[in-house]
Amino acid sequence: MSALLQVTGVAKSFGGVRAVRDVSFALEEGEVLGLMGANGAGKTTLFNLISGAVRADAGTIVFAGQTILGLPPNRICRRGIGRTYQIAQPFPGMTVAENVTVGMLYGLRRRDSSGAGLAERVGSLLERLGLAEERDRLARSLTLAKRKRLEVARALATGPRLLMLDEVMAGLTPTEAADAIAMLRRLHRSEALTMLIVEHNLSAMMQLCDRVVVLHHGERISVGTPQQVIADPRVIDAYLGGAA
Amino acid sequence: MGVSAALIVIVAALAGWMVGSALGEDGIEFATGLALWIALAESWIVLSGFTGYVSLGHAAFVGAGAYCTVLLWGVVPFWLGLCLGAVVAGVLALAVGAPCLRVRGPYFVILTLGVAEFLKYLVIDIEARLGKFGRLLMDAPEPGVLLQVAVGLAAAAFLLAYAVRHSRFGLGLRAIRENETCAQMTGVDVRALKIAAFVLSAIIPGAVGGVMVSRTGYFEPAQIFSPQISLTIITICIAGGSDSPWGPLLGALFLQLLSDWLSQTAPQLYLIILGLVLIAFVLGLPDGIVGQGARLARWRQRPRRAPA
Repeated sequence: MSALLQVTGVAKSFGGVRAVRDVSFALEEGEVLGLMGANGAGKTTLFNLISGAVRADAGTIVFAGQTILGLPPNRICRRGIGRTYQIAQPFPGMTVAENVTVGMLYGLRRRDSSGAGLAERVGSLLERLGLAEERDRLARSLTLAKRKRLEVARALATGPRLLMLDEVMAGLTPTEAADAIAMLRRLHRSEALTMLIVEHNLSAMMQLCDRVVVLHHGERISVGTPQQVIADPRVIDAYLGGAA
Repeated sequence: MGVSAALIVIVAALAGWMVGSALGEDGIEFATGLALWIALAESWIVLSGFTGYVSLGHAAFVGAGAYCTVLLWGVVPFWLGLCLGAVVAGVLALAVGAPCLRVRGPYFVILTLGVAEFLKYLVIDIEARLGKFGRLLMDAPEPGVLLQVAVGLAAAAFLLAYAVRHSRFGLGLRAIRENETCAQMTGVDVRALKIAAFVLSAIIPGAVGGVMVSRTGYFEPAQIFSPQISLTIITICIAGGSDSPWGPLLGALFLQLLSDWLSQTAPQLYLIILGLVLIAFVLGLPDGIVGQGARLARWRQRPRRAPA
C-alpha cells in the first residue's frame, strides 16, 4: 500500500499563530479528497505547504515515493502536482492559449513541444474545459467563471498526477457552480486524476469527494466519507460552536 | 509570417550594411546612431520588456564594455576588443543579476540605477588615480566601418529579441512578468530564467559601448556611464512598445528622427519637447506604438455576436 501523497505531522506557524498543527493524511491514487474547515482553519496553508509556496516547520510530505518538502514550487510542479489559486489570477496580459501553453511547456509532460502537436494539445484541453471560443482573448478580459476555468486549465496543462483545487467554485452563481462540478467529475472520470479539493460549497464536496478531512484551528478533527464527516459531532461542534 | 518578417529585417540590415558608405557624412552619423540605439533597446526588452523587471542601469553594461575596449585599445584588434567588452558586460550582469533580481518593482529599478552609478564613480576614481583624465583613442576605424559594425549589432540584437520572444524561454519570461508566483507554480524556474535574461540583455550593450567610444575617439567615464543612456533606452521602448522586437525598432526610429529634427529646429526646446512626448506616450499609449497596433488588431478580431 503506497499512497500517492502522504502528509505526516506537518506544522506551520506564522509568528504566534499556529496555522497548521500536526496534520497527517494520505491520498490514494485516483482518489478525490476534500479539505473542509471554517475560514482560518488552515486549508490554504496546507495547500501552500504541499505546493512548496510555504515551507513547513515540521513533518514530512512524500509524493509518489519521494519527499518533496523543501523543494521550490517549480520543481514540485514538475514532479506532478498542479494547483489553482483561490483568487484566480492567471497571466492576465496573455491570451488564454498562451496561459495554457506555459503549463504545457514547463510542466511535467514536456515532450513534443513542436508547434503543431502543441497547438493541438492546447486546443483539445481548451475544448474539454469549454474555453475553446476564448482561445485568443486576453485572460484579464474573461468573466470570473471563465477565469476560474482557465486557472484549472493552466494547472491541468502541466500534466499533473495530483490536481489541487483551492475554492474553484467560490463566487460562482449556482448554475456556474453546477457546470464546474460537472466539469470536474468529467475530468476525474476521463483521466482518473487524483484531486485534493478545498471548497466551502458543501453540496459540491458531497458530490465530488470520496473522503473528506476536516480542519479546525489548524488541527485535523475528523476524516471519513462525506456522510460520516457531516454526522461527526466534533465537526458539528466546530461549525456551529456547540458547548465544549 | 514570423520567419519572413525576420528575413526582411536581415535583408534590410544587409542593405544598410552595403549602402552605408554611399551615404554622406551626416547620413552615416545618423544611421550609426540609430543602429546603436536599436541594438541597445532590443537588448533591453529581452530583460525588461519580457519580464517586467525594468532596468535603469543598462548604461553600466555600455560603460563596462567601453572601458574594456579602451583598456585593450592597440593591444588587441578592434573587433576582439568589442567581443571582450561584450563578454565583460555579460559577466558583470551575471555577478550583479543574482542579488538584484531578488527584489521586484521599484526596488529593482532603483537598485539597477544605484549599481550603475556606483560603477560609474568607481571607474572615475580608478581613472583619476591612474592620472588619466579622459583617454584619446588613436586610429579608430573609419565611420563607414563603424556603421557596418553598428548595423550588425542592431541586427543581432533584433534577432536575439525575436528568437527569445517566440521561444519557450520567452514565454516563461512573459509569465514571470504577468504573475511571478503563478509562473513558478506552473513549473517555471523563475530565478534561473531571470538571470539568463539579464545576462542576454547585457552582452550586446557591452559591444555597443566599444563602438560608441570609437565613434567619438574619446573615453570619458562620466559620459559613457551616463544614466542618460539608460533613460534614452527606456524612452525608446516606451514609445515603440516593449513586448515585441518591432517596438524598439519603431521607437528608435521615431526618437532618432524627432531628436534630429528638434535639435536642428529648436535646440533650446529640444529636451522639453522630448519630455512632453514621453509623458504623452505614457498617458496615451502605454503599450507603445506596436502595442497599440496589436490592441487594435485584437479589437477588430473580437468575437461578434450574430445580429438577432
